[in-house]
Amino acid sequence: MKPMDFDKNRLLELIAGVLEEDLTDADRETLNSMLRKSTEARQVYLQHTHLHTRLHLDYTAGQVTEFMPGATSPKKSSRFSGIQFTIMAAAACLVLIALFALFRPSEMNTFVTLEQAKSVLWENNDLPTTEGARLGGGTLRVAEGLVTLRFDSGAEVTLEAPAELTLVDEMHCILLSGAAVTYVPDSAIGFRIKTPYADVVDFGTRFSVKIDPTSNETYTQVYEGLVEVEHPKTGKVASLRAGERNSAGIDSMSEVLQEQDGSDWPATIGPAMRDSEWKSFETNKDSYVGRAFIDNVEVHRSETLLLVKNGTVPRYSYLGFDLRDLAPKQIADANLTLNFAPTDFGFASLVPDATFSVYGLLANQTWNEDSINKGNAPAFPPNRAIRNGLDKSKLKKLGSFVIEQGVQRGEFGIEGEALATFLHEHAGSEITLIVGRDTKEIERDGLVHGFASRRHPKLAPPTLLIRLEKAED
Amino acid sequence: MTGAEKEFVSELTDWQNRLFGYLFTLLGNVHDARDVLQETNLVLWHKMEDFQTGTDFGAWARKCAYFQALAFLRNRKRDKHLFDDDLLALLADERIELFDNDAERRLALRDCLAQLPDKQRRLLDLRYKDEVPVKQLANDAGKNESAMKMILMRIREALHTCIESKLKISQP
Repeated sequence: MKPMDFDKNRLLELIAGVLEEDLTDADRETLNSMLRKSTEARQVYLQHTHLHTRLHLDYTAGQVTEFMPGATSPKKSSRFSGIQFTIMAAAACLVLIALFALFRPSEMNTFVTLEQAKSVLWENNDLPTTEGARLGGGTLRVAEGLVTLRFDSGAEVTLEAPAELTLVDEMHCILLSGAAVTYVPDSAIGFRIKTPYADVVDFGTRFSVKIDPTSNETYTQVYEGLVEVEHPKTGKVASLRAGERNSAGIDSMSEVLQEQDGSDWPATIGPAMRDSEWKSFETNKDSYVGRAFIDNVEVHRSETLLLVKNGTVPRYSYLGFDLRDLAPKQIADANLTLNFAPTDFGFASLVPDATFSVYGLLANQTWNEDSINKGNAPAFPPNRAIRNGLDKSKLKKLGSFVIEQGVQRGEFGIEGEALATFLHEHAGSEITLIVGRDTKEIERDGLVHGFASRRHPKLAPPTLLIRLEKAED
Repeated sequence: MTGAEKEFVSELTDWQNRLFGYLFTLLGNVHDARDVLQETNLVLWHKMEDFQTGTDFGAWARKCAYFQALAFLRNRKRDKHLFDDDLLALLADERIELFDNDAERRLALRDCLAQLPDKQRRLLDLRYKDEVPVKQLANDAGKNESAMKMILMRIREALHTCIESKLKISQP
């Protein structure tokens, strides 16, 4: 066998630098020179990079089902850091779209699930309007509220009233009036929203389309990814990327504008957004307390999830939000969202449907994300009182939610007056929310629940969404 | 969907993983590879009519991905690119056997992963599933970072050898 014409160990070191994305400039030069000189070195490089990406994809293959049409999984996080998610989802869904098209039985003519209807007032609809209903072709008319639709292609459209939307098939709809915020995973590449003056074609993104109620102009804004806006009358096509927007009228389409320079951009359309805006706050610190040690080694730990359990050692998660820049009088409404994911610790069959409560810490007692523990965590009970749970005199209960037995994944959280009032009273400072599980395990080794911390690479961190009253002129 | 559209969608689906791998090879960054893949899908979608059923979709899609990668790099002129242009062209044209028998390779990888010693598999779990940074893996194992990188490289090498031998057995 011919000896290698390069130093293989050195090459492997350099390739490792590429895979871990920490190659120095000098290393880069050396790698270039080695690869240029030797086909064999190039093959070694290809072999490692391909296996690396394949492992990336393979390890998340189990999550594909979340995006499959018809799956009843909760709303997906909008974080895009996990490439594998989108690609696997794309692959899975494209296959399903293809299969769907190939094997669609004649009686199966529904292609949208009405996922959620929030404070909705419907207008003479020709489609079912209960949550969970399966919808086929037809028009939805919403006088008030928010309606979330999930197309079988994977596209998710949230309609903001007053609005009128015609469902055409799993890849098409027509927005006749109102606003729609759309999330399209790569599964639904080519998803199309027609509007009076423009067609918006999506290529795996989050974007919004609004129709001006008086001029009927179409305003498109992209938050992530890429969409194309086609203007059928002039034949013009504009590509919009994240942070870009444009508008289309009867005779022409505007230039592509950056988010910050759209002075002629309408503030908002739709009553839900007209007098207010939403502002989101992610945790600026988060941790969990009630860590378990065996022989001084921590067991059942997670770097990326915040753990919650109610067993012999209860675990509570502490969430810090920095609301120093927020004026109290601005807060109109609020919700807290937590992204749960499996911890692989304990057995789900040993914990029944579980109620979780969220508390607000009344006095602003500081804590440190890295060093918080049973001894120093605010409102954490002393050992002898641990059975009674947190020290309620220092807390205000803000709300509860239930996760059914066996469910370990999805978005859960609280909303409502108690939360808004607490935020109102504590805006202008740093606040602490504590999440605990009220439901005890039936036996030892019950499931440990967990939700994404701010260190989670893929899922969104605990997020407070606060609706702000627009300041009066 | 027409027959040609069905075939196009099925090919595009089938090639997503490999195109992603191909773009990563050229760009050396998963986020960039993902972005360029998205642009590539867009272009392919638009050119769907150019695609003739029965022709080599992979070659066509790769060429398109390569041009998209070049355009992407041109837009990022100021940043250091991983590879010089001439090398990029060499790599883009390199015969990639790893693209053949994609489904068999995927199955072989599963088998080979299952055969790894527990310790190594756990390490891959941490690296790929939990996305624990190598630095932390090294700390936890009491090793230095470059040693940990090399351990991972060796595991991947072993996997590669295992996959190739399985493919040889199944296709003598």
